[in-house]
Amino acid sequence: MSARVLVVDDALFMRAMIREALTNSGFQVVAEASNGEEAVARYEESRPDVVTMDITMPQMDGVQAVREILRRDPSARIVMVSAMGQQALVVEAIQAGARDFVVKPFDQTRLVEAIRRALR
Amino acid sequence: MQLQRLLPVFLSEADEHLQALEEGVLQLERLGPTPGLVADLFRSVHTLKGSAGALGFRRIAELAHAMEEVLEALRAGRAADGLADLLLECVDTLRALRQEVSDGGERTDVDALVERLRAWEEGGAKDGLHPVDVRVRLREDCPMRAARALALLRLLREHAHVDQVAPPEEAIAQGQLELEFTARVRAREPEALQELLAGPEVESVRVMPAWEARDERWLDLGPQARGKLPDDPELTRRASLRTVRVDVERLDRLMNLVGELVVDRIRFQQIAERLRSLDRANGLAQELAEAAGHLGRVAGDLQAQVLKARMLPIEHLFSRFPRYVRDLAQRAGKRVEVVLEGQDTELDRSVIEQIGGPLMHLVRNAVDHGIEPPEERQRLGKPAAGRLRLAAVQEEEGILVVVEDDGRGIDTDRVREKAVALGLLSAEAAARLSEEEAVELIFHPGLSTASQVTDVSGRGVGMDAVRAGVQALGGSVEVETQRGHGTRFVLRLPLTLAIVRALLVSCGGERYAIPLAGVQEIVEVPAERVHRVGSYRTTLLRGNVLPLVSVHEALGLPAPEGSGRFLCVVTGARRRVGLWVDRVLGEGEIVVKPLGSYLGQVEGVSGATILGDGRVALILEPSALVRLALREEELAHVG
Repeated sequence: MSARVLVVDDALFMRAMIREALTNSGFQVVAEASNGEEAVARYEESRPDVVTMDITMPQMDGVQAVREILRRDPSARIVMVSAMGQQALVVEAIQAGARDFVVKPFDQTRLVEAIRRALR
Repeated sequence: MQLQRLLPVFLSEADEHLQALEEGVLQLERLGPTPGLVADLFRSVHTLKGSAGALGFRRIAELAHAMEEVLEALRAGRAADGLADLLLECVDTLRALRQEVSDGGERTDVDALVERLRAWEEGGAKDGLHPVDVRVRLREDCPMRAARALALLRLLREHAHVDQVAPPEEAIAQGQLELEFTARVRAREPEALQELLAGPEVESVRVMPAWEARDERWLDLGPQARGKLPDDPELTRRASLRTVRVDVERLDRLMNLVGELVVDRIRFQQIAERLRSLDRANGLAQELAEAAGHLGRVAGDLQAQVLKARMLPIEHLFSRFPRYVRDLAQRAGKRVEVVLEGQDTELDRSVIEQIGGPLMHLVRNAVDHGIEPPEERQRLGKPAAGRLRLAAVQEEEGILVVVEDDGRGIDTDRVREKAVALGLLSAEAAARLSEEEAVELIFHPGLSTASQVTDVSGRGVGMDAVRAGVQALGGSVEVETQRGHGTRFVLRLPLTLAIVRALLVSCGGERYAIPLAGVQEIVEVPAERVHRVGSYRTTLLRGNVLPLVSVHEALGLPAPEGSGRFLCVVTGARRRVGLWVDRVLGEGEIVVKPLGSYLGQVEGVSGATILGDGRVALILEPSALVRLALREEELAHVG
């Protein structure tokens, strides 16, 4: 059975791109969210196997969302999707419990690999 | 056939290796598997395996081989958890096999032990985790190295226990990372970690046994170097050139011959004296006296050298105690640290052989009854682990051996109570005893051998046996104790049993020697002060009834003409008897010679010696004489 993914990004374009990359690699995108609050809600509803999480978003940023999700489900698997120059935030997210990360711009294989690693 | 000749060499070498193994395993238990220690253990096991294999002792070889495999795992960095017990069992089994081999053939089964060693090796031990160092090198073009390193560590944590990271994680989080970091981890399957951590940002992942980083010495020795650890040939050669193995019996025979030489020397001197009294031969007599004097000095030196050759460092005895105490403490749920001092102190072999029993007894008592359980000790503000000190020091005339613990000490009130309860003395008498006298009660046969008393306030049973054993050697035991602080036993031992100071007496025309250690006093008792009850005789000595025994009665010899006058009061096993003799001839050093096998064991006689005039005197054994005398006393009562 293919892994179920929640894609979180405030940019519709990024969400579409990630969805396409994942679908092509056999993953199933079960939900999308455009900010942290929404991400937490979608996570609760759909309980995906893995989450891709943008960092800079309105309402609640990605790092905060990682904390919220892990508070509800300590076994949640989250992969950060970060822009260049955000290392401090990525470090923070990993220390909060995120499993892996990719740096934009990324090619599809990197993302897929990171998700596979997170699922191991 | 050729090899069979080497059996004695194998046996004595096996003893040394087994001792080294035992000590090594105890150290392993305390300090963990340091590379040097594991190498030493490996070497002993390996040598044992090699020689056993060559002689066709398959079981020893098989067990040694399985032990080797386990040590190999230790060398590869595996933790030694739970291994000490198993290895000690192996040592015990090897000891048993070694004995069987010397008695004719291997009998003890090793299969179960080998199986357990294999199981441990395959990870059946405690956690089955292997300690390894994981060194990760990131690619030059890896973005966000710090975040990547942390993510990889996060991943590593999912599959292994991470004990340590260099550089530390906080430093990495603050960006202090070049390209490489190393994590010391414990993993079930270290081999899998490489694949786990591999990725496009990672240049390389090296998983290496944790010991590589610990000790540079081992870098060149991969696991394939197994079994090739050489002994240092130079050291081995030097040691073997400087020592020879000599059968103890040969030394005993040598000692015997030297003893006769000493006697001959005295005869020469006596002859020279007599010649000197004949005027005409005066010049010759002087020459003979000089020659005899020289012979005397040489014989004396020779005797001293032979005595020295019979000496062994007390280490041979002490070395068994760490293991012994460990097992005892484990069983009793206590923690005991053994401190050995003065291990180089030398003692005659025969003393070492005979003092082992009494020492074990004292040590067992200290662990079982003296040292408190850890919780109690902590409550009392003492370190949780008790301290047991075994020390040996040479004094002028002998050796002092100290057995000391920092336990609860002897509760003299309870000793008094017990003594009264057992009817050994009245409550009033018990109350009158000083502290020292009350402590002395532990040596009372009635108190310490009473089987229902297993724990007399910090001391167990059998103290009278300890004292009797030491006294039989011509030594003594003293005890000091302080309630709440511990107990110290001091054993005074002779340097050798081959030469003793003895009292020479004559009885019925025969001469006898009585070791001075067993003689308390000499008194002259006229015949009319001897009271007879049938064949049983007593006298009053300072108001106390003293049973009497005459030497010829004790030895079953015909009664001599005339009546004796002198009385040596001899002691043994805390009882005193009077020994009835005709004359006291003097005292001096005598060389103890065993009775020939045609005489065998004679009760009351421990050996013989040759006197200065060439006559043979039997050496009487005080404690046996006391036993014989008391038996007569009982018979008299029955009659």
